[in-house]
Amino acid sequence: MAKVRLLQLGALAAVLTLWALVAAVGVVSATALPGPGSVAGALGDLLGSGVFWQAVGETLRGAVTGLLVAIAVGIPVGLVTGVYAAAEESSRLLVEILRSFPVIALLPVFLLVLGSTPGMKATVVFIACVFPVLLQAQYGAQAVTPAIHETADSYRIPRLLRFRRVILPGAVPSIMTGLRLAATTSVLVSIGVEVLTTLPGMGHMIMESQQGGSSARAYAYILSAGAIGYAITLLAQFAEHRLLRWRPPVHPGGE
Amino acid sequence: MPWKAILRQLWLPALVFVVLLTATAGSTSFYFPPLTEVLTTLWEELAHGGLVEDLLFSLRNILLGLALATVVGVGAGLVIGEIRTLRLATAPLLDFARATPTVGFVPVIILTLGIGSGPKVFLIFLGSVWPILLNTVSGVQAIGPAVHETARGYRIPWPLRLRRVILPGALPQILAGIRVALSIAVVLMVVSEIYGSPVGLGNFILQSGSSFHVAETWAGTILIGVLGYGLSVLLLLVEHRVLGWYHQRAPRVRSTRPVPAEHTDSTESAKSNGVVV
Amino acid sequence: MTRGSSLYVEDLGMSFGEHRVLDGLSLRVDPGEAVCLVGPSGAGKTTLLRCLAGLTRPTGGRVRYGDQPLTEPHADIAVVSQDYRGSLLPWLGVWDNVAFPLQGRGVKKAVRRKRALECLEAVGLPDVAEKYPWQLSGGMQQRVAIARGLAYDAPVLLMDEPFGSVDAQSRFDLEDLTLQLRRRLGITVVVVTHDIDEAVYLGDRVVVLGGKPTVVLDNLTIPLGTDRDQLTTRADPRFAELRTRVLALIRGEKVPTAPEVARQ
Repeated sequence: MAKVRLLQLGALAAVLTLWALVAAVGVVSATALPGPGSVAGALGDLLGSGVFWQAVGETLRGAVTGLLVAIAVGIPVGLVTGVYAAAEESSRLLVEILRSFPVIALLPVFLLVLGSTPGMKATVVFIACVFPVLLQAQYGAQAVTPAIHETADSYRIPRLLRFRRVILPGAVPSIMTGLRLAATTSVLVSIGVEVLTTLPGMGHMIMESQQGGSSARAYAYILSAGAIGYAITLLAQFAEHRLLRWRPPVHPGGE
Repeated sequence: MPWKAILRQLWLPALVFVVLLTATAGSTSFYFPPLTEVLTTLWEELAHGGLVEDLLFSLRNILLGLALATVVGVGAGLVIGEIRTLRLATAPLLDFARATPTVGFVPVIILTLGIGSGPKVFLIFLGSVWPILLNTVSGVQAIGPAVHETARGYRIPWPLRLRRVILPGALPQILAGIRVALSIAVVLMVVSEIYGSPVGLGNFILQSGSSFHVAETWAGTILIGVLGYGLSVLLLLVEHRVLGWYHQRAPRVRSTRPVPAEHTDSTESAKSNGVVV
Repeated sequence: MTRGSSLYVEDLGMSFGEHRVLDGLSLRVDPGEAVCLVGPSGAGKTTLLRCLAGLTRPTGGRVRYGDQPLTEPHADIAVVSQDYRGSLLPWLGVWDNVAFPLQGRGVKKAVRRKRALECLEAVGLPDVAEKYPWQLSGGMQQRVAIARGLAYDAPVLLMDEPFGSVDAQSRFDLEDLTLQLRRRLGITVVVVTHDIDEAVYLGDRVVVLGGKPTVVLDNLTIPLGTDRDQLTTRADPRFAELRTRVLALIRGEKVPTAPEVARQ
């Protein structure tokens, strides 16, 4: 295990060195790609400043709000479409169209209709996050085999109980994947909205820094955003791992 | 022709469309013009207003960016997937890159590299390459050990192995990655045109929006939706042709692909699930 | 006419960490022989076969092919594994799968295809060349895997529980196919199986493995001739004796005395 960590640190060192080299050689202008040193310095300054943490808070607020609503809507609807084939068929085309719709393209329209408000940001996050959650819940419910349904039928298990103790637990692994994807998406979309509008948050700070000529600070914000997203991924993977220990180790592929 | 199946799938969307049509028909609301008006505006702009130019410009950028991302992502992904030490060493870095909002780079790139096509293509590439790369790595890993052993036992030389064993084997996951990359690419296509790009679909809606040309904004948004949907249908067709063998195997319970025990993913399952940046 | 060299296993041992699975195994397979390795589940028969194939290195002792040590897959040795479903490439058609090892050798497409068709005929599947593996039954898929081993033109064919996941009827057909191929082509065949009847039916010699850790319990010659068939051979009283003997060995019970079976 330690050897792996060493390798990973080595890879990180290699990337940082490469970055420093490219920046030093001046292949690209210093504003396009500031060196790791200046970015690190900017990052250090940021971490001490209240402005930074406020921006982080704004970004997270929009992300979490939209995410929670997406979960509240996506899971039930997904489970229903997963269990009832008729529902799935009816909704398939609509979901397919809406899903492939670039949410951020809705921004101009949303700006018109809802104005530049935190509510608008949360709404956009909601729309972006609801589909992964919905679809994963659907797949999870579909994973309940016909054999299990038949068994439940033959023991005449009432509908609600079936949902609660057969379908829902069976769908949990898939739902967890959906939650993980939606969580990372929520932060990305939140920042995306901030870049395109004047709403406060990390995205807005990136714009401001860049327009003010401070590339290093902009990069520092970008990296911080990446760190937050990465942290969320790690957390989610950890949660999945702990909660899903009952799953037999799956033999990948081949099938 | 399975008429009943088609009907079952179409009734709801058709209903929604009709409802929208009628509900907005007599609308005097400023922000929600009648659907008919939006559609006529769309038609007008396409026929006379140079919207086609915008469309082609954006389309060209996104296709170029995606093509680049596919070549680099698959190439690097195959190498990383095959070499265990490399894969283990770079895993956290790749996950971190995947989690970084490429949208954040837009100000930096555009303000320093200009508003031409090049920086836009680069941005699209930058955002799309990660899902493709990560899914390629995951796809290589997903190839069953029996397949690898057979190739080893019959002493298949590695160029042939790469071409006819590893690449086809990883293809389902690769295509899933491309599908995800597509949604990211469409978003970046729009966002990259934020700073007064002379042409472009994203620019069109952003301008229309800020000048309060409501019908145009809705029209442009619909067009982008159609573009995104059209590209994903195209990808689906490619998938069906190339992955005929994959889809026709013994029918399994429709479930998500099992999570490989070792590398728990930032990769999306072989069935796409609508992740958008 | 037999080709190829002898396979030698010399004092082979295999440990996984602290766990010693195989201990001091020695055996020899000569060109043209059909040898069956039989033993209880978990005895490490597959591990032994993999060492013979060059897919795994033993932790002790060695494997030789002719006078060369065998440490990686050899051009003279083809392996048919237990998992036929996993080892056939699903994205290649049947003849493509059969010809694939030849493509690895740089053989031209027309020549490859011809050879593949020949081998498919040899295993009794003249009509499936253009299909895909998923369209075939389990028994047929296993035949394709065997055809692939034949196409490789190797004098030695190693088979790991090749008929285990196939239905009983197909199993008899496949066993006969194996005997037939051996007669016609003069190849050396080593079969790992847990089915005692099968081992006695197929083999010129049966190597019985067992114990903890696994050792060679016995090396029995099967004097039933080369012309065997399912009906008469299995009804032969010597057949019953031999299988009883093998079963007793595996179970660690006393071997019932009987008119003699030649031993080595």
